[in-house]
Amino acid sequence: MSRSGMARVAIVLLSLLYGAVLLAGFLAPHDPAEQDREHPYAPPTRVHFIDAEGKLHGWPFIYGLTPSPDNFAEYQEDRSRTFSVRPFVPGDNYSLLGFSLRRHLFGIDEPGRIFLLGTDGYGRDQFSRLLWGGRISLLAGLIAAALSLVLGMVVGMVSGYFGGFTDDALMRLAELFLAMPWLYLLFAVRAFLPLHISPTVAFFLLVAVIGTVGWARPARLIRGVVLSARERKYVLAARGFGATDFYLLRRHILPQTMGVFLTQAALLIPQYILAEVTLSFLGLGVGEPVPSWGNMLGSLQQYHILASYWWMLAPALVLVPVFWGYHVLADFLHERLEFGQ
Amino acid sequence: MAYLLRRLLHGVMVLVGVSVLSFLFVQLAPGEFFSDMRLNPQISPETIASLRAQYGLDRSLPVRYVNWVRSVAKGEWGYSFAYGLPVSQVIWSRARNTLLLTVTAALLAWLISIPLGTYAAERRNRWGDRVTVAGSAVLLTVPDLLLALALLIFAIRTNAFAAGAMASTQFADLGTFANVKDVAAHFTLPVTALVLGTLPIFFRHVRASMIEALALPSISAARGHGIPRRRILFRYALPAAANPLISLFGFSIASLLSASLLVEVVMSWPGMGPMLLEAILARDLYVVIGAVMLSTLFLVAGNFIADVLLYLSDPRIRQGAV
Amino acid sequence: MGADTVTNEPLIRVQGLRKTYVQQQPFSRGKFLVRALDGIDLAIRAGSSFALVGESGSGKSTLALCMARLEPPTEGKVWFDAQDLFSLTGPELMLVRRHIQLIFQDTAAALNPRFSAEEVIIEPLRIQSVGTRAEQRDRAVHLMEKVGLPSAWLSRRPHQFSGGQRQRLAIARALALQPRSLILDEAFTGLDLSIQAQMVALLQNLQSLEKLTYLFISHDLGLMAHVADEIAILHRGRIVEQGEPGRLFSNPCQPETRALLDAIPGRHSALSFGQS
Repeated sequence: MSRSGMARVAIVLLSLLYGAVLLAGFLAPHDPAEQDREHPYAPPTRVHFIDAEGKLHGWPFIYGLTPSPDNFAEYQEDRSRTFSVRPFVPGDNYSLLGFSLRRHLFGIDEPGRIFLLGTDGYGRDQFSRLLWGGRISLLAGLIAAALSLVLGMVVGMVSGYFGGFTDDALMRLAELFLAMPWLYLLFAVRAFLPLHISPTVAFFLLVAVIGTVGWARPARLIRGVVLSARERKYVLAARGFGATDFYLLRRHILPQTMGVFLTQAALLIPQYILAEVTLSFLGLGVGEPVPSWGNMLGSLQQYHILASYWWMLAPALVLVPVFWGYHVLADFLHERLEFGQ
Repeated sequence: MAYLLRRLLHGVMVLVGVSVLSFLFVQLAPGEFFSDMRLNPQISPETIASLRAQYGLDRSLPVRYVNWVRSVAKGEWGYSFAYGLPVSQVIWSRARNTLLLTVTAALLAWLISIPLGTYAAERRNRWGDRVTVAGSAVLLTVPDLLLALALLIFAIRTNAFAAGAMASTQFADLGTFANVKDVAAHFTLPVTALVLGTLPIFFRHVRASMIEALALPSISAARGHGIPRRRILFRYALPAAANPLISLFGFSIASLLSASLLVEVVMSWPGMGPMLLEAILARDLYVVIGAVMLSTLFLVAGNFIADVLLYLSDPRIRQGAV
Repeated sequence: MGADTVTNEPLIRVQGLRKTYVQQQPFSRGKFLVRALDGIDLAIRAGSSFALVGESGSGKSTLALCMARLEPPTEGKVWFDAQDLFSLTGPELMLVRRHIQLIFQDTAAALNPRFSAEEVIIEPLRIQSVGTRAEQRDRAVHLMEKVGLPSAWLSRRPHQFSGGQRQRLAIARALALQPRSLILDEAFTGLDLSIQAQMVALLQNLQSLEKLTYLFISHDLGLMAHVADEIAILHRGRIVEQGEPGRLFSNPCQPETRALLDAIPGRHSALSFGQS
């Protein structure tokens, strides 16, 4: 498949993923914070169409879940209770675009619970948490990348266009930032911020921290573009017509930087999503009870959980298509950049 | 020679700059080690004040910085509040473990990627190349965290390698050779995780550099003269590709250090990673700064070694043309 | 060329122009001074065509940049229409900028590849805020036709034009603000001879229509003989000889002049062209 063909697939995939997490309220059957203490670490619920007697049901259904008599850690299906899966069911409230809504894409008859991806230690539905958690992780990556890129753009343009002492000073600062292993830098910055903060504050703080760490590489690359664009004859000609610096930057130089900007975006966003996941995983990011893909993976630091409950890996597995999509986009943009110039 | 001195000076300036930056972040710290103690009604304010004075926390920022630099010059890296020990004692053994891990992983990654990349470059766009490139792309899309977790699951399930920690509990009882074997067994998993994580990037770069090198006119000329393939590779292509590769080696230290941080924590390898994490959670100021500085030191050292290698291998640099 | 439009007061006057800059030796530690321009005096009459001829490195382009006020000189003055070019600021400067336009050699680099031909032409109007959008568009059409390009091509990008056509586009752009003078820096270099001839014709035509003053900068003494009323020979930042083409060709005084004359292909053959 050609590069642009794959790029199209990547864009569709990423749009679906982002769309899914934005519609988390609608798509998730259960409340992400709702606990079911009787069913911790339940495996993904099996959905059936044909029951034990061979009868086909109108809607798919599940059986009730009871702990195994001989082993508390395992569960058995309780064939005596069936719950149907129904579409467009009213459930818990959630808000979307300012509206408070109750319809969910699908739901389960009360008091049944459908755990498409199993439950965690508190009996919370992992599927719902995956959707809600995705908001945090995917959006944190996006916003933090935007922050880094804007900072990098401004620095790169100022540095490249005006040159001189400013350029020297800024580039030395960039070298310093690039000289440190970025995860250590991230940790160090995080270390010096308040430890126990509300999840909302944590989110913004996290985004700010991750964003400020990574401005250096985009700045350097953009500076390079600006340096070469600045010397073009058409810039000189425009100056001959009396153009101000601002006009030149806006009309001639900025468009040239777009290519680098987009490629860097495609490279940075997945890195930043991973940064959020890593920090939250280690307890330094967004904390309970707000789900994020990172803190959902946190319990996996205990080996017995890691080894026994494979469904808990879902937040890590879902990162693979995200990374793939962004990598394909980055490759495509990079190629187009080089041949376009 | 002047080139090397310049690079050395440059490295020192980076270290100084990083130390200042780290110290600046101290200013932003709203909480400090004694914040929790303050909340405890049983501890009097005077005790806290005297403890602060003892640790030098009551002086102003520039004074603290100068004191710290002075003690670093003496080999003293400050004091760890949590351990009650000098930071150097706390950090050093951990740093050694991290170095062991990182250097081994780096060497292995290079050892694998250079032949692999060359192989792919030679068979460009043919079957062998496509397979390896696809494989590396697949590996690239798997984030380090997932890689580490997956390896752990594999190890736990199959009981193949010792998972977690650096040594078994019977470590002290075994003889030296058995000790080495034991550490090596615990060592395999984190190293594998690191190597798998960085291999695709190295492979890509080696392949790209070798493709460029193989396209040089000097190579076509050599082939035209009938020089055997192996000789061409080693005596002509590899040296031409050496410059970008050695530079990459310097950069790769940074990404390896970052990756090792995570891998160490996940796999409980007693390196700087877990120590840094603990120190952050305990607000153990000087340990955090010490760890950051040390990792930067490794990085600067790695880059400097790369510079030396470049100097030795590239005659253009020796002549001062670059 | 253009004898009927010549008047006697100099439109452009250059006095004692010097430009030196510091250059770092690539392989050693020394820095040395490069004297790009070493005391230039010129006077160009309104409506005439003046040519500066020299080899590469003689300082031609630096002079062009200084006279268009795109580079500040180290010493000396440039007068445009009795106004000191380098002491002007603000709106007065903007007005004078209209009247000195520069045409470059490298046509591909002189036009932003992302702009359409129309955007290229009206850019000066935009920068100086002249006219409404509609007026600007009309002007673009008018200018395209004036330089002999079909107005239907206004939506095309520069890379879709040939070298000669791009140069016409550059001229159209230069004419947008109705300048009084054009500086053409190696404007014909790199074009086919037949295209050069077309360009010369176009410029002559424009000169009488628009009452333009031209300053040509070139290394091609032969071509300059055809287009200029007066030629100055530039060597290492200094004018070594100056005069009408006829006099220079029949009676060159300086060795540099002679060298340039000898460089003209076909100069010494029986078929060499006559003096203008």
